[in-house]
Amino acid sequence: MSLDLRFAVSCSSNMNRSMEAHAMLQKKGFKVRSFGTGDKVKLPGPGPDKPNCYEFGTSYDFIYKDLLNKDKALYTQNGLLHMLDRNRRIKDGPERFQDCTDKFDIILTCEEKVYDQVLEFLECHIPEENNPVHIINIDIQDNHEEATIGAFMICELALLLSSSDDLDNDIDELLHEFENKCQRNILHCVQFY
Amino acid sequence: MLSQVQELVVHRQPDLLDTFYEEVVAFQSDKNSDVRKWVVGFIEEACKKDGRMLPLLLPNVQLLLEDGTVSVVKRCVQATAPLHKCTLVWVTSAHTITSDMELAWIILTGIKSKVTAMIDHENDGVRTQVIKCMESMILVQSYSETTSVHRERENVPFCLDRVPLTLKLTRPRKLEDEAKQMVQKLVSFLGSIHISSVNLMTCMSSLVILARARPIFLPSVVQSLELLHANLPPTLSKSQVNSVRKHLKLQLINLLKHPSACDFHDNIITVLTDLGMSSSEINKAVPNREEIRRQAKKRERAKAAAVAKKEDGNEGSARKRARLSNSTLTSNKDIPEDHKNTIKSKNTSQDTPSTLASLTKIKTETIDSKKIEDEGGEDDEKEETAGTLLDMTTKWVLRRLTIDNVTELVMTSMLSLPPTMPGLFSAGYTPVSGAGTLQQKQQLSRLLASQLVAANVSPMGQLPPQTSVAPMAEGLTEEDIQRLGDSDDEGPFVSFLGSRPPNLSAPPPALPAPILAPIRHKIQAVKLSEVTPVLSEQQQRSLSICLVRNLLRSYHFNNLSQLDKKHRMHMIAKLLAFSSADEIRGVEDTMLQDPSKYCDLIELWIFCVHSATCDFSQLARITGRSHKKKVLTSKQEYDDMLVRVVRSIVPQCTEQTYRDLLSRLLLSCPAVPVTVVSALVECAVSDNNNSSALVCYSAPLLRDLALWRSNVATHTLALLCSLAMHSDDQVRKAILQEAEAILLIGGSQAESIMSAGRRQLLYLEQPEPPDAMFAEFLGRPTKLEEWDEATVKACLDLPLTILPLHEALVHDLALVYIKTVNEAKRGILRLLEGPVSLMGMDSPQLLALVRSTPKGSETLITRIIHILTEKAPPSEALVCQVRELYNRRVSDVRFLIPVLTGLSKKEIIAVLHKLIKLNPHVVKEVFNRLWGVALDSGTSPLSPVELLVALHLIEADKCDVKTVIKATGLCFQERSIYTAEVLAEVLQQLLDEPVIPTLFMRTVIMTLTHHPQLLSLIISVLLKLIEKKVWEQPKIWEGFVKCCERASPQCVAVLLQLPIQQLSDAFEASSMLKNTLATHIKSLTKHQKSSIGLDVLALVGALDETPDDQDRAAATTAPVREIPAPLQLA
Repeated sequence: MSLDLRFAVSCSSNMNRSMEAHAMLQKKGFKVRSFGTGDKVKLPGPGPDKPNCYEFGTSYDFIYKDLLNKDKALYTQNGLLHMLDRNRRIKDGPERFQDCTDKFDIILTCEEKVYDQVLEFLECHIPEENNPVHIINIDIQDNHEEATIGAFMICELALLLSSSDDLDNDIDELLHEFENKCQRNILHCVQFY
Repeated sequence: MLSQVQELVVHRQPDLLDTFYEEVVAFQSDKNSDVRKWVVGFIEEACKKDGRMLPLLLPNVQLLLEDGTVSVVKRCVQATAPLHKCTLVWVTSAHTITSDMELAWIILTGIKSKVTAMIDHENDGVRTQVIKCMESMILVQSYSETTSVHRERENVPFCLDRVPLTLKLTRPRKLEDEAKQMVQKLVSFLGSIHISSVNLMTCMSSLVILARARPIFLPSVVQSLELLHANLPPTLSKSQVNSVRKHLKLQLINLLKHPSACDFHDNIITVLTDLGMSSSEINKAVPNREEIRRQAKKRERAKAAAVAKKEDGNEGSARKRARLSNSTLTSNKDIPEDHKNTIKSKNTSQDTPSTLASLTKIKTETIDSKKIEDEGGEDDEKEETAGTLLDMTTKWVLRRLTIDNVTELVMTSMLSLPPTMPGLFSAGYTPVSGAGTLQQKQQLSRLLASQLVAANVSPMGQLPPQTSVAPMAEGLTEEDIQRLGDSDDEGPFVSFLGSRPPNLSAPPPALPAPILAPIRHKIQAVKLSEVTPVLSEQQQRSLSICLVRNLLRSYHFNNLSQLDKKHRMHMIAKLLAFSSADEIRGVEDTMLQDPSKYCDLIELWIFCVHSATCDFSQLARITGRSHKKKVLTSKQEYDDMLVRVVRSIVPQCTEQTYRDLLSRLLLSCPAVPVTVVSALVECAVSDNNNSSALVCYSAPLLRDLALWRSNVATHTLALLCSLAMHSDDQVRKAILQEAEAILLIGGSQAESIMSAGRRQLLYLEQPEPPDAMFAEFLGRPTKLEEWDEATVKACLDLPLTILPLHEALVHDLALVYIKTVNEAKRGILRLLEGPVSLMGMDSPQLLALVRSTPKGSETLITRIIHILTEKAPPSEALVCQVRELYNRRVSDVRFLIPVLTGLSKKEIIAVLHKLIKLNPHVVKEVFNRLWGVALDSGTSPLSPVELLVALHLIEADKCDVKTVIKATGLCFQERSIYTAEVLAEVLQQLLDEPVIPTLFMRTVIMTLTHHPQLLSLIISVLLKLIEKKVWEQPKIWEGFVKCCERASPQCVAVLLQLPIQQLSDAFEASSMLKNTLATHIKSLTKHQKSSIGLDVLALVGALDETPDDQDRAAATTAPVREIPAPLQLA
């Protein structure tokens, strides 16, 4: 068992999907961090063309209060406040993946675009230590229900991966197994630090 | 703890390193693999810190490389890259080469070759690390270029640039060649068909990194990626293909951005378009043309400067490049002619000779023209890089891509297509965009060309043989060389993708995975027979039982598909069939404990065992156990197995499962042995809890077995008939029901049941119950000395069930009845009702029996006739028979009773006197029949009136009056029948008789008593009697007087009509009459009195003034006294 695998979970804004998974993995005792890969933290606003945008680095608490002031009813009703409240109890604020220098064993992404961005970022570095990192993408729609389902899947995948003694050797099979079980297409590739 | 030591020793107090490294390194034999891993890390750190540690610590690395734990090996490989660099740096930086350095270098070379060889390691992770390690080593062992992309942090990474040419240990040139060898190795690894997706991606990125850092590798890298795109390994799953294609796209974009790559833009863009990238996306990725040009100029300048700077003998990049292109060009020119004829194309993976031949034809047809064109065309090709073999072949193919050729190619390759579309193809296929355009043609020709080149059959010639055939002599192990040698031995058409020229010792570079190439990359060719130990028979068996058990456990998983389930079922059944009973006991128990769940399986199993028994099963032949098993799997084994199944299923059966399961099993199974039927009955009977229920359930099954399973029919029928004598009524009932069903169907089965029935009937002739009736399974374990009611009934049930269907048996019954004991006689009479009433009175056998009536069987016959006529009027035939019997043989009137209603009026009246002499109950019944009380339909030959009249008319000598009085009494009791009207009619008829019957007056009086409303009628009757001179019959006269008494005071009218003599007689008999009349007269008026005769008045005493009257009255009393005493009326 290699329970000391370092996990990273990333979506685009580090708000919903990655945080849901973060919460769940943390509860299960995994070493986990969560990130967003977008340029800005984007949250739904009063209209489709009027999203709320924040810089990475803004705290959840700040966003929470900001939204509370803007339209308490709306954001309570669409669950944003609840989500932010959960998030601020997990960590301070959204983090951008590209700004992080930590190293991971497994990076889980929640949509293909995020996966591309992670790869692009990692590809820019020429590796030094040759420590492998597996990047795995599971498509999760950006809403509360799907995020919860996705978090369960991510959690299951994490358990599966950490059950292996020799991850580099087994990962192909494990992913294949997982894919069959979940009936979702996943993307996987390996990069090096 | 250990990392603290590391920190302290390595970084803070480097002087401590010397002292402590041995202690630390001693941990390398620690049991914990994490500790060993840490040791590797420590060595790495220590060597980075101080080069002098290298010769001391490198052997440890070498040792750890052999470690049994994969993770340690991985860590070692990972450490090899920095160590390699360190060593080179250390060696280079030293002014003089010490022996330590030499030692370190030798060890390092050893490690290097070991690591390189590990690219075939069995662990995927290790292979990944080896790729990365090779990547770093290549980077170190090659020259940097102006356009090299470096790591961000170290601006000037260490590379061959800094290695002095004068290095004693090894020549930089050698190192560079070695690096090229390794690149080739990576390239061919990329092309191997069994590469995993992780390694594929790792290898891709490594090659791209190399290409970006060392642009001299660009051509081969681009080419290999192109080939990869055309030939993705078949082992990848769909999502892996997606991932790999995505990765490939990313890598190609990276390459595209590289300034040196502009020569390859066309190729790369083609592949990218194929991968589904839109042109706008590509345009975004392609760097500005202007910029490229500018950079190219800059590069030119730099190159010129470099050339100027370096002397001719220098191993500068520019020169090397030139040399490379030269060598390719030269080699292209002297191509052996015969190689041109060995041709392969894209779809020839399963080539047939005919395809080959036709392809060869196409190619050779065009070969002359091609040659000429080539001569001319060659001059135009100015670019050195474009002069690679692949490009030339592409051009060659492009020129020949005419419609005719393409059509022929497609047609011929059609033959070798697989029947179904491979999954990989559909996954990776993107529709061809812009078919027929020049661009598409170019792309196509390039793909074809890459195949041709890969197969080494390009008309442009062979790839140049490697400049140094054994460059890594130190690196290559003997084994490798051996393997290379082996590959030479294969003929020209050996492989999967193409021929290999016999004289080419190194494998062709950029080979897209011919079948032989992977052998080098695989650890070893796995021969199943070598790696699998032969299991002993015992092991095989226990394993197969294990397998069965597991299959059984998962048998009811819901997520199994129907097909899957079917296969599993077959597997289990077959495996079970080939194991002995002892082995499968556990499994069997599981199945049989829940038979309804495993019903299908059990059925299949039975079939399998049977087919094994009969040696139908091919499996037996295949498994080779047939000879042994043939003896083992005897008929007996099948029988035993079926018996086991039955024995375990029966006790848990409900009616439902019995019907659904056991019947199904036994009726559908290939053969039913006799033992199974016995076991079935035995089981059903022996169960104490609900035995009768089980037997009842089994009855229909027994019937079916008897009817449909001819081999056990006799046995089953015997059992069935025995069970018909079971002590339990319920059981008998169930069994008899089935027996009846069989009888109704008829055939030989019915006959055997009949004979069994007769046999059982004959048991009753014996003085005591026979042994056959006493058995455990019949519920009578102990023998009885004499018949009792229960045994008689049990014995009779079957015969009596048969009787209605097989009427001739009734004669046997009569004979048995005569001979048997009283108990049985009673039984027969009691039980006869059902069957006889079913037979009906028209049954010829019954009529025959009635006619014959064996002596002693009269009671039986009477009973039968009674039963027959109970519910319906007797039929003509029956009446006839009975009458005949009565007239000719047995003059017992009782015979006639049942058929009374069928007799004529005359006959009845003739026997009436006999009938009324019988027991009052019988008489009552007789009357009932005659009245039609008990009959549903039919009319009685005697009406109630006629009956009563007939009774009155019975002559006194035939029957005494008392009996008749009793009989008439019965009539009077039936008031609903003998109503006032009926009685009036009766009286009327009797009056009309010439002689008044003796009992007439009694009847009159009774009538008056019962129906006072008939008084007036009675009066008229009395008056008529007077007319008939009633006083002449003393008994009637007596009754007459009594009647008058009863009828007073209305009787005065009658009295007054009497002649005076009779009147006085009447007064003599009854003074009450006199008083009545006197009262009446007194109430009359004078005028009325005048109409009455004086003598009457005198008699009554109405003339009381005259004493004569009294004398006269006294005188008249004397004759009256002489009248005999009146009849004693009841």
